[in-house]
Amino acid sequence: MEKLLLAIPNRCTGCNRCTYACSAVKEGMFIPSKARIKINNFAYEGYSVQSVCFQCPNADCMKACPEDAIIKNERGVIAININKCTRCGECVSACQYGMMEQYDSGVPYKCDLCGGSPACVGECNFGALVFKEADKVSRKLRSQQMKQRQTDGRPDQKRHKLAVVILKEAVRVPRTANYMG
Amino acid sequence: MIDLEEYHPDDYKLRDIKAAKKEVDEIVDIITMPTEKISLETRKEISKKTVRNFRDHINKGFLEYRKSVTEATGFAVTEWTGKGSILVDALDRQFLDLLGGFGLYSYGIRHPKIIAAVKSQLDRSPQYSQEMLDPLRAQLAKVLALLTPGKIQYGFFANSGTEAVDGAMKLAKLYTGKKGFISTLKAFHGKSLGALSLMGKHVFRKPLLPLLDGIRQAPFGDLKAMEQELISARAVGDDIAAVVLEPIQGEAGAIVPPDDYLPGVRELCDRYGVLMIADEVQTGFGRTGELFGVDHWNVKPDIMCFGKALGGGVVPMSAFMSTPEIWKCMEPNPFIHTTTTGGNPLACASALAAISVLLEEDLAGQAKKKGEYVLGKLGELQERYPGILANKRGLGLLLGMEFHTDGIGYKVASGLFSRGVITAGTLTNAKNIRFEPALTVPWEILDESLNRIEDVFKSIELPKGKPDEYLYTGQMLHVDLSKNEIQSKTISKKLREQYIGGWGLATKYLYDAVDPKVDPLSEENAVVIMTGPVCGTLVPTSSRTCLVSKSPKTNTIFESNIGGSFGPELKFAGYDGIMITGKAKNLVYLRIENSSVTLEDAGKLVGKGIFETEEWLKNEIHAEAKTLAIGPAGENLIDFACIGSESYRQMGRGGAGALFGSKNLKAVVCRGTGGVQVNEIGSFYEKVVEHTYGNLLTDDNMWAKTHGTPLLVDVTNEMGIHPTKNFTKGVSAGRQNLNADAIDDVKIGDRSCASCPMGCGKFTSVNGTQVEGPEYETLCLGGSNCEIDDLETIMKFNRLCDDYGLDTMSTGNIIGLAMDITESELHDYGIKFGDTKQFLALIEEIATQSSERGKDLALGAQKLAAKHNAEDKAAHSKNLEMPAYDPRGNYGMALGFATSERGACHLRSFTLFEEEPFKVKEMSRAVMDNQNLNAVKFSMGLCDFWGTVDTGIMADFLTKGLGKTISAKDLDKAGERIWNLNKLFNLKAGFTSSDDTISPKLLKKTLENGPLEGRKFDTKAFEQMKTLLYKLRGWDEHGTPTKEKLSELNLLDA
Repeated sequence: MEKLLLAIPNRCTGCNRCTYACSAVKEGMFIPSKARIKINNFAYEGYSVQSVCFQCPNADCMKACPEDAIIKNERGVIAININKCTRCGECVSACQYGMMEQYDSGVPYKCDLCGGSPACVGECNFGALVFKEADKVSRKLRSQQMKQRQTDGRPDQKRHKLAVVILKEAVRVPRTANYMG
Repeated sequence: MIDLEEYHPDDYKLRDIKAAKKEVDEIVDIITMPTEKISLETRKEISKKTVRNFRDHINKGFLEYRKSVTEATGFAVTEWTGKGSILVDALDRQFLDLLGGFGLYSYGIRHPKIIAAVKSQLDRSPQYSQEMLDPLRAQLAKVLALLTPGKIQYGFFANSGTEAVDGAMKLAKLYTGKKGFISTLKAFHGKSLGALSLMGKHVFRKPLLPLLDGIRQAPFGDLKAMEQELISARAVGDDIAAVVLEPIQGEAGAIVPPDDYLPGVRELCDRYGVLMIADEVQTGFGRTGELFGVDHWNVKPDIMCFGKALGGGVVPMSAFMSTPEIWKCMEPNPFIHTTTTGGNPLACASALAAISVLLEEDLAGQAKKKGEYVLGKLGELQERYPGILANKRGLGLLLGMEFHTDGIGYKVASGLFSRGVITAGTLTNAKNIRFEPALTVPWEILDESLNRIEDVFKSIELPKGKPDEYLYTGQMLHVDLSKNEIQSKTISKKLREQYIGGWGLATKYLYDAVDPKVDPLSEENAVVIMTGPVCGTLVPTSSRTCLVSKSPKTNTIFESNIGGSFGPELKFAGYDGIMITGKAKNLVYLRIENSSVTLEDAGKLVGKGIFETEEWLKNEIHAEAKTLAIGPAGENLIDFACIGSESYRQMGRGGAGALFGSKNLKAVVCRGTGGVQVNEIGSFYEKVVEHTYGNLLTDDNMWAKTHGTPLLVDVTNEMGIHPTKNFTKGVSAGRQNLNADAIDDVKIGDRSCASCPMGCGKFTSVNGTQVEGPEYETLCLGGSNCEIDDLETIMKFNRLCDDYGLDTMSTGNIIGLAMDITESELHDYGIKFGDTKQFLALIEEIATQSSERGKDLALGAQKLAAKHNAEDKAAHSKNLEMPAYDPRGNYGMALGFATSERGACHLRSFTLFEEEPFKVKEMSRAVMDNQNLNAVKFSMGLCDFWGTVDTGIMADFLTKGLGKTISAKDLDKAGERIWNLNKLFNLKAGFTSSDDTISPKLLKKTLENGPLEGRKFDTKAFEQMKTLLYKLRGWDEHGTPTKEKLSELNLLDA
């Protein structure tokens, strides 16, 4: 069954371990700027918002690719076929969540859910990242987060603008022992 | 693109016999048709249909993991035919075979001699009657008996390797009458329930537990560990039947054991009376350059298992064999282990022909030569592409390439696939890729494959970094504000070894650059900011960043460190540290964006609070830029001004903010997009996981996650050392308003520093006032110490101090003193204990010097008290205001405050939880050990709240990260060296042993309430402790390190 990577900003503490782990697995070094998950930190407000690839059901990056080099695979992952890619960058502009980025060479990269065992989720000690079956609740959370979109700017600018919206809409209340975010 | 969801009208619905007949006829027609007559169209159909059939009838999962699907374009790569080392798929696409079917194709694909023998046997008799005696099986057993080492003579034949292992286990149990087995970690012996029990990997084993009882796994290659398992098994009554091992671990990545390992295991088996089973399923029949793996070490096992290549790559075949002595146990009832199809005539014909090829063509010899050649070539590749190929290993043609991560490995495997080279390596398991071609592989194909491997390596994009810099970036930014000059210089490797990083390296840089007698606020003083070697990695709590300089508060050398994310950002920008000298003409800020480093005018930020400054800089540079900034207090050179970062984090103690102010430096802002490299990311990551779960996230440290520092409010109150009413009392009446429960009630979120999985920061909100904190020290010194027990007021106090840039600890301590002075009628500062309004008003007055009393309080506790002849009211050491642990209740804390390099600091030695708080000997020793350990910890950049970390763990991180051995002892020594260098600075600055004390108030006055009420501070005991501490440190009675000590620490030239 298809599983979704879900981010729960109310639980995120801004430790950024997910981005360290992601880059370690994908790039062989600790380089959060190349991580496939990003954290937008709002230290003053005491809040951090994760940016994750939603593996969109009807992905803009896939539609934008003139070479059909982006596919949705069996697991529901939007995957890039590097052999077909011409490094045109259309997918990067098309992604409205800022989750498709390019190396200096122009080769694009994005989250592939680590083949079904996301390294980021494994490092989250606060339950702010979960990887679970696509059920009613998780689909709803995802579709809520997907509603906000940004078409202008670099990927990092898009992510920041979207995160600001989430920060503003966040309902944060003093917690009781049973508070679950 | 391969459409996995493609629908076909013939797809399976439900039981349908007619459809079955149609399907079967179609495929049989194809099978029997001459290959050349099968049209391309038909073969395309077969390819598509195979994907659908895998999806509907085999296992969808394979489609997601196999490169044949994930990496193919148009049509999935579908098995069709092949010859030698070339595979051809259904669409006539050719592939070089480096996988060799995991060792199945030792003789190449379809070796003519083997095919011919099997075809002839097929025409004669393909199976047995199950009654008559079969000649081929018996003959094969004889041939194998002649080939195998030692007394191996009898054999049993089966179909797959795992059956052979299961059979061998049964034989060992029967013969010895014992139940247990010892195998090795990362071992792979097969996946049937018996063999699976031996498995050395949790992935395949754990979901199927419980398996066979009495199985143990020892690390492969470790004789001592093997013996230990034998000893413990015996001790607890788990009788061991046999040790089972692969002579060279295959699945684990072609791991060759040390030369003494197999002979050693043989000897252990003899000594402990257990059998030795060699699983030669993958290593047998020439694969490793000898006939069998054990032959490399002339070891004679009791039982051997064969499979894979035994069947000649044509018919499945496996066997286990043993000696006449052992085999005897199966003679009374030969039916105790049988099989219908094992050792059938086709398989035996195949195996016999294969052995003939093996000997005729000297496949073992070929494997040896080719293996050495390939290993040499891989070595060259490793040198050329160290960022990709981490290691290469193996014997003969059982070779393994190890990549730094699964991600890189998969990039290689998929890159090879698209270049027509078949290797192992799936999405989730690609870190180790085996290189296991046919032993007959032509040299041209080997060369071509190696070329294509290099071609793939070339195409892989790795983030750029200096190739030989691990953990450290190796660069120090030198910023001369007077000359407006910025340079990046290499940090010598010798210095890194001796001083680690962080506190240590910063101390060394300062020591070499600054005269200890210098005025701290003069142009001649320097400020060194330094990260630790593991900063910017997944090592938990590793983001602490140190500042070292001469303190305007204490006139000593001092270190102040901060969490958050500034340190990692600096590393990602490419620098381990920053050394700031001189003084700018106007207020400036230092702007670091990777290699672009400039000094910018900060005119617009004059007088601005830290919050606004940080926001402005973020807008100017990048939303994720990180800053170190000062507020008005720093600009006004208040000597307890702090440097703030991410709003609520501070380098608080010692006046770091005034130092920035004295240099006309408003802020350092940094944005970095580079990375931190480690020598070997896989094993480094493993160490991180091991120590994070094994040591950090354990009960001892969990308080930080659950409660954070407010937990200490109740703890210190219980102990009677909770500073209350300007250090006159040890127990506070209003504690329930400020303890961990109170904080928890108003908490709206947890906050972490970069890399920390604990998140001790509690973000609170009361009536619209929000702050990360307050932390324990603020709750006490800005709370009970001023007799304030309203949480909201303390949160406001916290925010105001953070924004104006004042250390909450010193500020709370000093305001408490001003209240005391006022109530004692020595002078009227218009503020009494508990006056929340004046309490909050004072912060701005101090920071901006906007009132007379603000100016007075800015003097600090010692000078303020002196001004009013109230020396007996000030709580400090070396002029640094006392933190929130009354030393009268714990002599170790007192000694720690007195002998810290920066006055009353609780972060050098924290003996609060020692069992005997007043014992001289124990406390002196504890203080020294703590001081040395913390010198290492803060040099590594780790957080104080990783309370259980030791130099062994820290050495582990450095060893794995740097790729060279660093021992705990090296670090212990470095810690002592760092502490001594700090001491030397202070001695040269003019401090003597008489300065190593705490203020008179604490020595002479007694506490007025709580468990320690009326208890006199034992000054004699205190002096004894000090003397003992000096002695333990190898210092003379004046606290000066002896020549011998300095020589021991390589500090003579200092």
